[in-house]
Amino acid sequence: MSAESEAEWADEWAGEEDDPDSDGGEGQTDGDEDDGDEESQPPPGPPATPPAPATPPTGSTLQWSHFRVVATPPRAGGEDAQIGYTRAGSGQFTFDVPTVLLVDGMYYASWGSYSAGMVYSVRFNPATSWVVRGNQDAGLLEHERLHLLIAEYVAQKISAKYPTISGHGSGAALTREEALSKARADAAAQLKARFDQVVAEWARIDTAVQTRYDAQTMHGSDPFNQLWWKDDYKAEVDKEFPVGP
Amino acid sequence: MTNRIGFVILAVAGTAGVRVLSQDAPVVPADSPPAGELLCRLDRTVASPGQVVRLTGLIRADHDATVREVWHDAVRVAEYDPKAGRLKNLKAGLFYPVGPPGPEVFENLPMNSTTPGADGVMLWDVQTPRVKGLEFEFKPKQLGTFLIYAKWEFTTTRQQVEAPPVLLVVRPPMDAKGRPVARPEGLDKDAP
Repeated sequence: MSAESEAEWADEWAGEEDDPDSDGGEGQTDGDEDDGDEESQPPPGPPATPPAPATPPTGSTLQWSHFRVVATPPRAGGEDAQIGYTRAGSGQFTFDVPTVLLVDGMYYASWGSYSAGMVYSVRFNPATSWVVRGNQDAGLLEHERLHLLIAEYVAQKISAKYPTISGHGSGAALTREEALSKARADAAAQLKARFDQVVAEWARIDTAVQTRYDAQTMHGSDPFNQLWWKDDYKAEVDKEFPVGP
Repeated sequence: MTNRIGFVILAVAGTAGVRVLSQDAPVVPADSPPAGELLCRLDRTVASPGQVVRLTGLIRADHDATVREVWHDAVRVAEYDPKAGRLKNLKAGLFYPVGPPGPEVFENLPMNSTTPGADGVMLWDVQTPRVKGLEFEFKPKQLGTFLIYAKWEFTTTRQQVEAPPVLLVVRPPMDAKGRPVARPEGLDKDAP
């Protein structure tokens, strides 16, 4: 299904119901609707999330206008800015043709599943990216951009390392249908477990490199190391992907 | 005999960490997050594909923590049967995970939302005297019944907390006579 027809379908269905709760907003919101029983005087809401651009910014195109502006750091003694992003993995999810054996009145089903052409990607998240008012300088923006560039490069490396993931399920039951259902659930669970392993490795590597980057550049306040990282961030990521035995 | 049974029940409750309150003690509603725990809510439990659903994760306001990473996961517990024109519950052993999760099931519900490094902080979307939390608005795309799980990782300590799952039923809209209007796009195309 094309993205266009997908959007038409969703819009049409959403439009059929006259629902005042469905405001059609995207991303995180100001949170003043769900907590009526929690307070008598709601405090001022958090800073608004900038509208999601049609094409999310990348590490090369990111600007301060993409960030939420806050008056003070959300954590005492914290940084002046922070970037946030989401991770996602997608691919062509397929089940093989199952096999079913009948032995002594019991059905044994076996089913393979795999996802080929896996692409792991990151996307800038305006809801979790913020800057303290007055700190929108070029040097700090450069630092935040490099966080995103590092994340994008780690995602590329993971995509290259794990282009296909697979799982295999089996199930036994007194009926053919139930044996197949068990095998399918097992195959889906195995595939998801494999996916979770890959994502855990991805998150571990990303966090390790990003933590090193922040420590060595002192969150961007060391211009010498900031420049060094700008030139060599790929080599730093590559260290986490050793080649060969 | 009755007293002895009552004593045993209280003893078991005590070992499980349950406080037995007197009748005069103030009681906080059970849908408030317990100390140290994460609790999630949906603003609706039944939706049609394309409708906006809001997931709110909450911790107590006095919980001295900030969030650096959020994970979402889902398990399908019912499938849409196009022939019968209704959702069909799966037996408990036949539940299966949605995944690898992607926007084809829940648009805009991030599998993982993160901040780089160990000391990232997400801004709270909800802040009241009792709770603070994060909100995610998303659109279900496929028919079915789902258990949605959320897990947060706190800043610095890297402690992870997982909320009890919330249930979302995604049904087709109905025509004027109450008949479901299911479209092929709403079916799980990955289901064998």
